[in-house]
Amino acid sequence: MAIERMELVTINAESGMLDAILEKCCESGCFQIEPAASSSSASTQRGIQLINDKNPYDVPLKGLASIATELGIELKETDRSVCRLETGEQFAEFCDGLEASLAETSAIKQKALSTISERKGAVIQITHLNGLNEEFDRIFNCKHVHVRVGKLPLESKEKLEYYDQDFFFIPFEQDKNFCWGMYFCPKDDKEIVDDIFKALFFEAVRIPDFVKGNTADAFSRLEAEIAEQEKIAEDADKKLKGFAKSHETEIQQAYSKLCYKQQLFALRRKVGELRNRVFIKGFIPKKKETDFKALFDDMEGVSLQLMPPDADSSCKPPTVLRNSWFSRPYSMLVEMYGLPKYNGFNPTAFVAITYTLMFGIMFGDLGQGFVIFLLGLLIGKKVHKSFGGMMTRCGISSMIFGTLYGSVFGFEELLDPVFEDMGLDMLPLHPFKSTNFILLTAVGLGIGLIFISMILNIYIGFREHDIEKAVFSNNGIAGLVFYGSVVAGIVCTVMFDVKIMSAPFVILLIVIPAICIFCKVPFAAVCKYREFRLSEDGEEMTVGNFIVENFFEMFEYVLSYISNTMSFLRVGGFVLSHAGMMLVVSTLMDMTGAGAKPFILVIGNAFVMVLEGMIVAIQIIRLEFYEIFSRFYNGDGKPFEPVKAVFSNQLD
Amino acid sequence: MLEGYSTNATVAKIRSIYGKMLTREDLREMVAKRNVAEVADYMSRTPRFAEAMRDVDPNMIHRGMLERLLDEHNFETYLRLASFQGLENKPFYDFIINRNDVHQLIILVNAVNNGLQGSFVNAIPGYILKTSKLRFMVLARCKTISELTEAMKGTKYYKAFKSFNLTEDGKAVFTEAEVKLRTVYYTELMQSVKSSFFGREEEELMDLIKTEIDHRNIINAYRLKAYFKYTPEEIKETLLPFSKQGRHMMNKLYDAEDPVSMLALIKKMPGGRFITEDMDSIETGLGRRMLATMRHIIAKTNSAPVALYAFEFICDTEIKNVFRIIEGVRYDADPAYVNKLLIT
Repeated sequence: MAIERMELVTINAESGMLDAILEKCCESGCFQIEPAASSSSASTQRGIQLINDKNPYDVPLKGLASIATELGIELKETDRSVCRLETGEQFAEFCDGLEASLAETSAIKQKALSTISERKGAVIQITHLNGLNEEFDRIFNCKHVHVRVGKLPLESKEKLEYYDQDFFFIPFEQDKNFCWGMYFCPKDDKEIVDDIFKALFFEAVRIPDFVKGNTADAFSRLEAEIAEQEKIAEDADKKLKGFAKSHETEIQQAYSKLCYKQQLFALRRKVGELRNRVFIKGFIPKKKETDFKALFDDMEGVSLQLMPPDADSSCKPPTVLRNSWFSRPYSMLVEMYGLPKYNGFNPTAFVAITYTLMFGIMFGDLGQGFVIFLLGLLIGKKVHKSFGGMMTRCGISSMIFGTLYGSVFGFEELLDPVFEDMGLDMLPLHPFKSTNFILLTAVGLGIGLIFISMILNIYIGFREHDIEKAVFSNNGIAGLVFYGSVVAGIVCTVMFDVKIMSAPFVILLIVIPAICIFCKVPFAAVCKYREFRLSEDGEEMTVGNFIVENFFEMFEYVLSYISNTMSFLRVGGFVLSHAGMMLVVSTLMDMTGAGAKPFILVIGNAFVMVLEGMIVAIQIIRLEFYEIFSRFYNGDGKPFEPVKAVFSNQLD
Repeated sequence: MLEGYSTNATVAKIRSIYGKMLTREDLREMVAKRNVAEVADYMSRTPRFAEAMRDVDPNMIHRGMLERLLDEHNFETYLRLASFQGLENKPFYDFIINRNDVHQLIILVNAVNNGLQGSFVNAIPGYILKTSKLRFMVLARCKTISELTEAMKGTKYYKAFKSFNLTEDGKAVFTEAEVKLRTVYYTELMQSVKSSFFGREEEELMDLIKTEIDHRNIINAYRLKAYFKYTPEEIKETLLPFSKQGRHMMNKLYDAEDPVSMLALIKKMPGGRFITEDMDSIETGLGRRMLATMRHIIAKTNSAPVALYAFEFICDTEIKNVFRIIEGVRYDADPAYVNKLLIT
């Protein structure tokens, strides 16, 4: 239960072999590429620059996707090996060829759709002229009178009274903003009156020339034309569908290959180049070393160098957690918080044990635990492997503690005869009869977990050669002694009436560790640098500032000891609340008739399982992340993301 | 006491509408549009103008109609805010109608001077015709300033019109007419503030109004000095007789030797950092200064009339930005240039 060993790989080859190398890297499934040059690294100083070529597959990819959309083809991953196109130019030519074939039919369809839209617009316009019971040609063919039909904003209608010119406006219909109608004026005054109405934002309705008769005739004529254009659009559509059907396979294959090529090319942004040679840098798991080297055996001119993962300070090695069967599902929680550093501590096993234990304690019920176990098996197979795995383990733990509590689907007395036969008087542990015990045990559990967290922090501190963290911090040896002594003192004094808090005890085990925590920075500086410093990064700090800052920090540490310890009371609290909720269910059952009891039992148990199960799961995550992880764990590791060219039918 | 609490709700409502206003990113996106239809379409999707543009077809709307619509939306927003808790009964809250009236009267004076009454009628927004007590359609029939003065009898602007010095051909001196009409407006506004409010609220509002007057005066003074080579005495005659900075300070600006030294003095005033070398014009620089002031007021004040007054200024600035963008898009102006003109 640790972290996968990694190796730093540098690949050096001629520029012409770059694509083949990147393909092999993607094929391996275990290579994480890193930038071959960064501003601070030695490689930049030697003149290696990252390749910054424009991706020639971007434009054809968008073009092909657009053609596929137009033809109604749903892009799916297919066998790309059949497609013979390789370069960006070839793909572009392919797309151009397709577009040329489609152009004419598309244009016909677009024209028909545009005409339909125009005619439908005219229909809407004419609808507003329903009040006009005259024939259009009679009106528009007047010799001496100029007519315009259209709509006028309502506010402009009020302004018409200002004008003295010879015209009149007849409104037919009005909506919230506009008034539909027509204006008449002598043909000699046409330009002036048109200008007046234009200035008032009059929008003339363009009634097509072929429209004759009155509005009813106009409607039927327009409807007929719309139907005709819809037929043309439909025929064009059919042609396009036929084209799509005959070319679909070719397009799917070309798209799959193009997608692959485009993503492969995008990896070049992390490849360095110098005088016709390319440099690729990345990490592979150590156990895949042989397989990875074998991929390049038949490639002449490619040189592979394998180095320890910390050989290059500009690249941080990624982290892959290595966990046992039991703790593997819990890696999901660790990843949620953050992966450990490459040479850090993998807390998954610790999380697995503590999470399972606390879940069992807080959700102890034999029957419900069994249901959760079964559900976990189902979910693990069908939906989410890790989540299902966690549920099965938690279900078993719940069953164990449920047995100890004597609770089976809320029936607290079912297991009593079993324990009686076994001669175990103290079991089962009925929550409401042992409230104090449960709460005190919960606090005890919390104290134990905090101790373990501190011990882990000390171990990690020594491993990292960080004296301040391991010895002088609030989670180091000083903190452990301080916390342990205070807890021991309180427990012995209050619970066992043993007066151990003597002066030597207090001075040696409480005051001196407190001073060590207070002065952790200067003490650590003395150990590391053999000189006395008040601040970590050597910046100027007065004694007064030091005292004030560390006083408040000390205050915070003491408060956190208290609050983190008390936080574990919720473990006991949930034991009681679970029992309480099941008591409610059994009370409801007692209140109902015999026929309804089974339903109440099932629904009540289901409700408690869902509600309390979720709350307990979340509360334990909070305890893990806040009370436990905060003492020893920093999730600042980098995830392992091996390169691969993934098919996608969505474009950025 | 309860009245004090009630205006907090109006302030909160103003702030919530303020939060939906067009951002700098919105304006930048609009500048990049290719035509007015695209600008209209973009605006119809913003929370600020979605309601106003609900029944509008962005592809069909005329530019002038779009501008009219936005203007009217601002006016209706103001009315909604003023009536939110029945505040509109106080005389102060008519300021927007009075301001519109004065603005239209100034345009009308210019129109009558130049025989463009028809254009005036076309351009006057419908909502002003509905809400104003002045009958602009009748006033627009006047052919001369004297006729117009007669027609203004019985209104609060009659005295101002009577005092116009007419030229030989019976036209009004436009700058004098503008100053006199605005003086009437601001005098009435400040009196309504004194009668409607007291204490801190009155102080804040008076400060705000005088800041606005100073802003107007500085712009006018600079333009007269830079483009028309007016002397300081001539400049002082064209300015509104109120100031927050004080006569002494303002006279220093007007007495500056040339536009460059005047600009240098303006830079030393509070908010002078907005006067930059690359600003397009004095209006842009000072506009940004005023906008920053108004935004600060909206954030800090608990007084509804102060917030409303500041908010109106911000709305006006927003609309002017949109109009600039529309003009820029129509004439295919360089987006970088249009961005420079925006007051944000």
